[in-house]
Amino acid sequence: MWFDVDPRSSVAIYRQLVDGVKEAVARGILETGEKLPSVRELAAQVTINPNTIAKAYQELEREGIIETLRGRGTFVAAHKPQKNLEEKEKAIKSMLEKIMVEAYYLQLDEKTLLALMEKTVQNWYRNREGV
Amino acid sequence: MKLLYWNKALAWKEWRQNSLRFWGLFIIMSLTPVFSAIFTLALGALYPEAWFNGGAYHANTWSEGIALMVNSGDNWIMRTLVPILIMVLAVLIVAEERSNNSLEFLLATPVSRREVLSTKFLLGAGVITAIMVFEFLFMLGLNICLPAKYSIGAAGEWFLLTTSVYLAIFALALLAASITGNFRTALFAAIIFIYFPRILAEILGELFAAFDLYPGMFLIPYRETLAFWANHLTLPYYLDHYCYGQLNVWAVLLIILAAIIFYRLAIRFFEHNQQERNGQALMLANSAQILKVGTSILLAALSAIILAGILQIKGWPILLFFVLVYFLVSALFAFVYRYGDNT
Amino acid sequence: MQNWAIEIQNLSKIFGRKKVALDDIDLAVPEGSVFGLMGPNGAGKSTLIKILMGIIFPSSGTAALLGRDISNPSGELRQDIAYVPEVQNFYPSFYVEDILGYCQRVYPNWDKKRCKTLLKAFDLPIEDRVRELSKGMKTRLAHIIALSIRPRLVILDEPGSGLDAVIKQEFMRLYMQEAASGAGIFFSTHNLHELERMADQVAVIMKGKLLFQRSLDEWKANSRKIQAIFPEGLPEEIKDLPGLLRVETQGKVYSIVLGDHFTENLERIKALKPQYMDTLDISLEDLFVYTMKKEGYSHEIALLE
Repeated sequence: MWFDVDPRSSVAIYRQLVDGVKEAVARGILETGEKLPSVRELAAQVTINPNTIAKAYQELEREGIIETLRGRGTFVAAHKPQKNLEEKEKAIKSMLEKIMVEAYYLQLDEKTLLALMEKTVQNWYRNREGV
Repeated sequence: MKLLYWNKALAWKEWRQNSLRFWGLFIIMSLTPVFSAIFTLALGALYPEAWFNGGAYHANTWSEGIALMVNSGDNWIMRTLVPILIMVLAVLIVAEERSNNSLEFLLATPVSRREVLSTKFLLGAGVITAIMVFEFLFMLGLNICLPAKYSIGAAGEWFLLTTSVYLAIFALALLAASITGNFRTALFAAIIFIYFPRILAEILGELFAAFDLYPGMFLIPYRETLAFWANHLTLPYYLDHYCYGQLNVWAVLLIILAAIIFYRLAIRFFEHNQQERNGQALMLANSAQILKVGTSILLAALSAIILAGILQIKGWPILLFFVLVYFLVSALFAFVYRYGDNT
Repeated sequence: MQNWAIEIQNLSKIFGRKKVALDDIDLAVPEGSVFGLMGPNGAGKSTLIKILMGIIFPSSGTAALLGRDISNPSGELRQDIAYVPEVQNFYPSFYVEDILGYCQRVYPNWDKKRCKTLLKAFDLPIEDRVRELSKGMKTRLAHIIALSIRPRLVILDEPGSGLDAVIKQEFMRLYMQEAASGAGIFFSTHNLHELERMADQVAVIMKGKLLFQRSLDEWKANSRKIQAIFPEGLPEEIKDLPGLLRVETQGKVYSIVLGDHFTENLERIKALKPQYMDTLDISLEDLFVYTMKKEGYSHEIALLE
């Protein structure tokens, strides 16, 4: 589930939550307009520090992924974050570079890597539509 | 100066914890005026002809036991047993909290230390006073309704003195318990506080005689003077020497004042005797040390007195013997402590 | 101005004449924080907590709970502070009902309904005497009381000792819910997984001394294990890195364990031109162990034969 965290990881727990929600929204597990549990509920549900959860929610709200309606709760935002193309490219590029390093050590050549990527990307979109 | 720190929740808890003990005390303290009178009255009504002791049954026979008690204090239950029970009760209600470690639970709840001890005292003292008032009213009522061998004045005097001594003993035992750590040390301290002045005076008197020291030398008082002060510092003495018509109002007032002082001191010490290292009399820094020295002196004194009695000698050989025994016992203690602790 | 749930200044405790249990502790727990106190056995955690609850007195220094000085003899300061010790000391001859009866009378904000719900949920036999309860049941009772007083501050000494995993988890959830409603939680623990999930701030005490107090996120973000190979052996400069906890050697590879200043140290190590370098995550458990070892708390035993 999107709120599963691994406390042993050196990634801060609030970061893990932010990433979890982002991934769930991207995969379509959390749909636009869906209500998220309140900080109190989630804290009790997963036994995580409520301040950490509040911090994660704040971060998600800042990034425009969720929105809080006063008195009604927290929901998955209707509008996806609008960043310009340059920013988006920059964000993806740095991650791709990390993959390239791994691929180099695994001795994958350019062609195999590209094929693998293409297949993964295609599968991902197909799965998402299927949800 | 605020004197009473009553806490309702604590009193409720205290009652739950000790009600059986209080009822037991009530029954024992009622044996003489209440049960004895009722029993004799019932027996007299059923079998007046079968009366024993050579005498016939009279309308006032029921009051014989009470008359003995209120005229000359002659009743071993009220004179000897009840003071001991009251002492044990006071020691128990404080020491039990420490030996169960329940004081730790109690102190984490919103109550203060002084409320804890004050409520214990007030409830216990209240129960003792209530029982005594009940006994007195019973004697008063029967005296008015039936022919009796005692006067209301005697019952009143006996009631005043006995109640005040009971309260003072209760407060003093509470004080002993509040400066010590567990039941045994608390009881030991209570016995010493309550009975020791008289025993001490006896021992000192004997010892002075055995060492061949005479009154006046090193400010040593006459044995009679020593005994007088020691007796008046020993609370049970007042019960032992009670006699109707000889009651000193000032003595009663002083005993009540002493009870209040003991109670105040108990609160003070209880507030500072913290819950660390069970069984230590913390006010006295190191109870083991005090116990060691105290017992050594006591044993040395006793054996010196006995030796002097057997050999019929006095003076410096006995003094030497006293010192010798003291060091011997201390050495024995040191040995036991060093090698006994590890086991 | 920041409000503190717990504020401790220069607190020391000496038992007897010279056994120093706590040495000049300064600690501040912000309101609404979940604060984890770590330390090896006998470090002084329980002593500190008992001092806070007024069970024992400090030798010097001051402390305040929710802004109220603990040296005040009045009991009122504890009316919204819950405390669950490691070992429960209820009156053995009392029925569970009596214990609750006392609590209900002594705590002004006692929540009867909540207590009833909890008693039922945790299967507590209220007609039993305390001495008939198992250790776990007594601990359950203590937690139920703690939650029923509607606390503004909860102090837990080794919560969960004597509880099975399921029950423990349930209570922790309830405490997290309390924390979400604004209650401060202060707990000592050996269980670092639990601490990682629940705490936002941690403090480490050892041999009565406070080593540090910091935000858990910050601590974790600044701690890493760096593995590196240097062409000419370990450079001297490594020893001077701030926050260095330990250097281990395995063949050519040096494992440099950092407890602080990760980014700064990374640059410094890079400047030493390592032949090979890798950064590894480090768990709180390892971090704790390395910190303890650095402070001289070591029980390394040679392989047993």
